[in-house]
Amino acid sequence: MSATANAHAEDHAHDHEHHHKETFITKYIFSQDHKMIAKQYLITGLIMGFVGIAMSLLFRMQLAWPGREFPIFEAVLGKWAPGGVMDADIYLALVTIHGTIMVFFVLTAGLSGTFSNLLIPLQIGARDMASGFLNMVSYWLFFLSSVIMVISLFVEAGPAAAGWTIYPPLSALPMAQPGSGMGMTLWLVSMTIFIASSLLGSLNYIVTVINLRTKGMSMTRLPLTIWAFFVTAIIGVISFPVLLSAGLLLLMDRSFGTSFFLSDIFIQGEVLHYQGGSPVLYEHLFWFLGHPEVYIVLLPALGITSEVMSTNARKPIFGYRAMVASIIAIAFLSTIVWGHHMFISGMNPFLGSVFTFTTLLIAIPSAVKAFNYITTLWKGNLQLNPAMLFSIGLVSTFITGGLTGIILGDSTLDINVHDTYFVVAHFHLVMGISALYGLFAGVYHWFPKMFEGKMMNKNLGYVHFWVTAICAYGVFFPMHFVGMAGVPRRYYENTAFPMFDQLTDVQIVMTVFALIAGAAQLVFVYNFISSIFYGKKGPQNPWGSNTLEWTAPQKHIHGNWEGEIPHVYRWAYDYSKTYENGEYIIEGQDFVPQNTPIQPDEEELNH
Amino acid sequence: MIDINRANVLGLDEADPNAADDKIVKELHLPKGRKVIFKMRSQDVLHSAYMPHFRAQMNCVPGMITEFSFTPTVTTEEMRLRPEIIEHVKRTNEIRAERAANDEPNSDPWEFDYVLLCNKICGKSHYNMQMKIIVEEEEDYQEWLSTQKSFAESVQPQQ
Repeated sequence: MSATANAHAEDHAHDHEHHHKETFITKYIFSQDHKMIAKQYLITGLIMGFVGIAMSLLFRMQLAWPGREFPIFEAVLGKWAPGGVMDADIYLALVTIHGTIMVFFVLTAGLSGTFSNLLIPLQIGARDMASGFLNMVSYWLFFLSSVIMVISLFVEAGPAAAGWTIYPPLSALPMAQPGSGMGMTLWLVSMTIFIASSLLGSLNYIVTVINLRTKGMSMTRLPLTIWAFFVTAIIGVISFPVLLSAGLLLLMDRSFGTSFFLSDIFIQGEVLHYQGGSPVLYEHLFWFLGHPEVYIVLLPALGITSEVMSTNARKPIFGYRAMVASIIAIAFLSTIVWGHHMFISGMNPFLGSVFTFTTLLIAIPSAVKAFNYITTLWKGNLQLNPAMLFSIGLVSTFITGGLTGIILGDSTLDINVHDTYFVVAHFHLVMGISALYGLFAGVYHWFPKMFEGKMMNKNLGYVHFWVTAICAYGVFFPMHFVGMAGVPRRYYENTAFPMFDQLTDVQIVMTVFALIAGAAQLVFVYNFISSIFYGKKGPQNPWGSNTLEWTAPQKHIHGNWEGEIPHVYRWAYDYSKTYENGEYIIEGQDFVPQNTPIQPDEEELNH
Repeated sequence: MIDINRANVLGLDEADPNAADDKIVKELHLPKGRKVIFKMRSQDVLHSAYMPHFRAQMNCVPGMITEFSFTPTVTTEEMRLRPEIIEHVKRTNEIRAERAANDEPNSDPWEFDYVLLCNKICGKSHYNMQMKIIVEEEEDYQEWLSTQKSFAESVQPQQ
């Protein structure tokens, strides 16, 4: 199959010279070119990220200064903040939509969507995705779901407010809270479209990686970015449909009187007819996606880090095959650990011990990856540009957040900290911040590829990194202790419990760090936008990287390469490789691009 | 059926003989040194009974009964004499005194008590869903228990 596809692609190459007529609409809006679609994903994701982060700043202010009047609340939230005091309902809505937007719209679509689209064809040596049309449909479904999610913020009774996990019955019964009315319906519709988008995208990535690799690009020569995107797409295809089923059943319970998740409910003086359903069933279905989702978010970031780190350490990635194996192991294990979100749900405690076992197994491949990153850095010739700093930052937050995961993954230790700020701190570090760092690393590293050779400003990148890194720990490190003290998450204010009074100062510290971190992102936004228009044009291969995307011309052309697609003769990590006499393989150059044939005296290492 | 006027606040079935001896309380008293089994239900949405001082937590799920058990080993009185609790209470009351001076809310002096709080998002008042827990010696517990009316005694007769 791969041979046929290549032949087809080469035919295409020969008649490439003829001019494709492109209008503004086919080039910038309904584009079928993966590079343009990647940019569309990135910019939509960043805009959604702006909304999501702004929401978190609002509710952090409420947590630090509970009940205080802020004119900004009234300006942004309107009737939900009468006199500038935030309402409890909108607090829950903000928390809910923040979670939804960040997990799905920013870190799934914005991260995986952007870089899978940009890098899969360019790094495996393909003209485009297997189906440019489905790719376009995938983006526009994502756009539509984003629009619906944003519209849901403006409905009269408010947006969904049952937490991003939308556990029924709270999410199923409009009389339980105002957000469970039209807001929740739009949430479900938006997510349904999002899942369709994600599936179309993922299937396309899988088919492309399997079928469209250039000559010589065996699976064991794939850059680790592609391995990560490929496996991410597979777990997306396996688990997203289960979320769809949960959403559809919930929709049936809400609108058509079924009782999949509801039973024996008496609310607002009314006995409801629901009989025999169980919210625990919903929890199972939700977390069957929910947990793999963590890795859907994280694996692309880890793939990007592998690539950026090896390039900027000027060293081969340490343990290539171990890295691939751990990606696959993490992906497999991620589908059998969902129960660790449900240790105190009323699930059989014996199941808890089974899920503890599988959960703790994930520590093994995760540790393999962490050690391999550190050993890749070891004695490297480190080029500390912003992309590299964010990659190192990712390894740091991945380890810090991962260690608390060992506590939470244990069904007995979890009892005490379940649903407290300890959990919030854990997952923000291990998946939120880590994946954001991966996103930033990717943007700084591949910006020249996305915007025809223009480079981002390095010094602004340093400011962005250091302020973000310090503030991220400033927010989430103290949060562990707040959680250990027993403060539950999703509390509008903690003043109803005098035992939490002494933690108010810590809340203020966290909020101040969050506000500064938010401001630091504006530096990134400025850098990003101004570099698109005024960025300095760099060389074709600005980081001295081996992968194929840097052999493509800076100017974006349909089909990626003029003439024939480059062939591949080696893996992607021949950095600082020398002959036995200590001379570099290519004189005066410490890297050997993948399309360079093996030299006469060169020994081909089996990695 | 819940009937506030007749003090049937939980909506127990008056015809059910097993409900007649139930005791409906607003604070939870537990005897020291005896294993307590909690059987939890919910009638509206998910809640979670979180007792941070006992490191205990279990969701309350509509349509099923969940269970948790532990043995309280330190009475509320004993807890209040512990140096770390004295320190915690002192710090907290300094904060509250400062609030009182500034005429701010939540400024009443505080005395240590065990609490049960809701730890599963349940709606607008989630942040204030709580119950006091008092752990006491067996005899105090029995004395308290004997003063509590059973459901049959407390519910008002049908008009």
